[in-house]
Amino acid sequence: MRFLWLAFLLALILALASVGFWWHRQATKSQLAFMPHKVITAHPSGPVMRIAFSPDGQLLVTRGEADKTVRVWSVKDGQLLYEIHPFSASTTTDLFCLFA
Amino acid sequence: MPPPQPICFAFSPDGQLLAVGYADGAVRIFNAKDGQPKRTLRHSPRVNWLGLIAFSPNGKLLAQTWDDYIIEDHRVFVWEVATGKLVRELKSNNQTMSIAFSPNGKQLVVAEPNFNFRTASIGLTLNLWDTKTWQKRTLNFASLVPYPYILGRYETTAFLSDPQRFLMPVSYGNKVFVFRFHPPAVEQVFTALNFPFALHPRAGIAWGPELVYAVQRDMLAVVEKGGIPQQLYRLNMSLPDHPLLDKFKVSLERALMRNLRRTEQIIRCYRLPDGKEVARLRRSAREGWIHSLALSPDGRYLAAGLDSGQVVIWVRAR
Repeated sequence: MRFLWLAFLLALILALASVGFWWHRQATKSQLAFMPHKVITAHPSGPVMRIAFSPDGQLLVTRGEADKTVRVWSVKDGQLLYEIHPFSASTTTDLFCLFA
Repeated sequence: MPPPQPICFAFSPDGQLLAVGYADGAVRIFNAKDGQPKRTLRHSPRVNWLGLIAFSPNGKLLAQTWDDYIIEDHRVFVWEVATGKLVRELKSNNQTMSIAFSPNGKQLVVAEPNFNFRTASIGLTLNLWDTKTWQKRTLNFASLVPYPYILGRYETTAFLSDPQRFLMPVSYGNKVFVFRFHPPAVEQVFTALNFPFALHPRAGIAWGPELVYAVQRDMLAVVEKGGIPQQLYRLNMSLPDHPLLDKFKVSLERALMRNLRRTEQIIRCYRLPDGKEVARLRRSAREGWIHSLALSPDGRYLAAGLDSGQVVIWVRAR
């Protein structure tokens, strides 16, 4: 009975702390949750310097630094769709530019 | 002749074409479905091209900034995608930092730095070209960077749902600004870190202050390189120089180097335009240093490119 006030004080402190903790959780809780979906080994020889999604969100384009390629991946299953080589576009135009 | 380095890429708004800009000055357009080449847009062969490309919202025009950083030639070319003809050649005064069409397609925005040598400060100039008459309007934002750091190239910028609000990152890697065109003002600033670099766990020294971010019309994601070493560094820099504090500062530096591998990367997602933080993803720097970030336009996927060559994709839980 002598230390009843102490018990009350402890209870009050605990209550305040739990309310504060709940308030903090509510304030910092993220509204969106992102879950891991896929890990793609896109450019094994170096860092991935830039990535972008296509407008419909189905394709993912990656550009590596060491290998001079741009690769396009399917987002849904993480498969490589195709790779873009720099000279695959139009060699004739490039040759014309060289001679011009 | 070595193959040219791909510099930048952009999808056409309907998702049918993929344009890739190469270091030899050519923009090559591919079919986005199967990667078949379609067209090459090139003004003249160039060894040191460094620029950016952007499609107009109806997909008919492609704008290319033309920066030769050796002879300091800065221009903007506007191409017609269907025929490959040069529509317009525009003049830029400094190295272009970003390029974008407004959502209604009536304006072309090109950002470039402006230098004030008297105050040793760097500001930002936004050049707005009317896409019908090609009249130029210039907006000056003075002294956004307090001292003359190098300003970067920012491939992704965004107009918010209000076409008068333009979002782009500026400064030495750490800040994302939302600009308002009329009247010209800075509306919002998102800061990724409070000091100008992050500490790399394996490189050990100050890593370049790259800002890794992704932006869509209604969301902005920024990678913050934080954790214990950064806080120790900040504490160390905030202390004044005094002989009594020397030993403490040395011990702080040692603790920093000991804890370097505890560097954390936090991906913060902000909802636009109110700037409320809606999601936070933590990833230790030991799992891979994040070099690039992307958000899918529907906001469903978030992807991060690591220095190990891996790409990690997250999907939004519904």
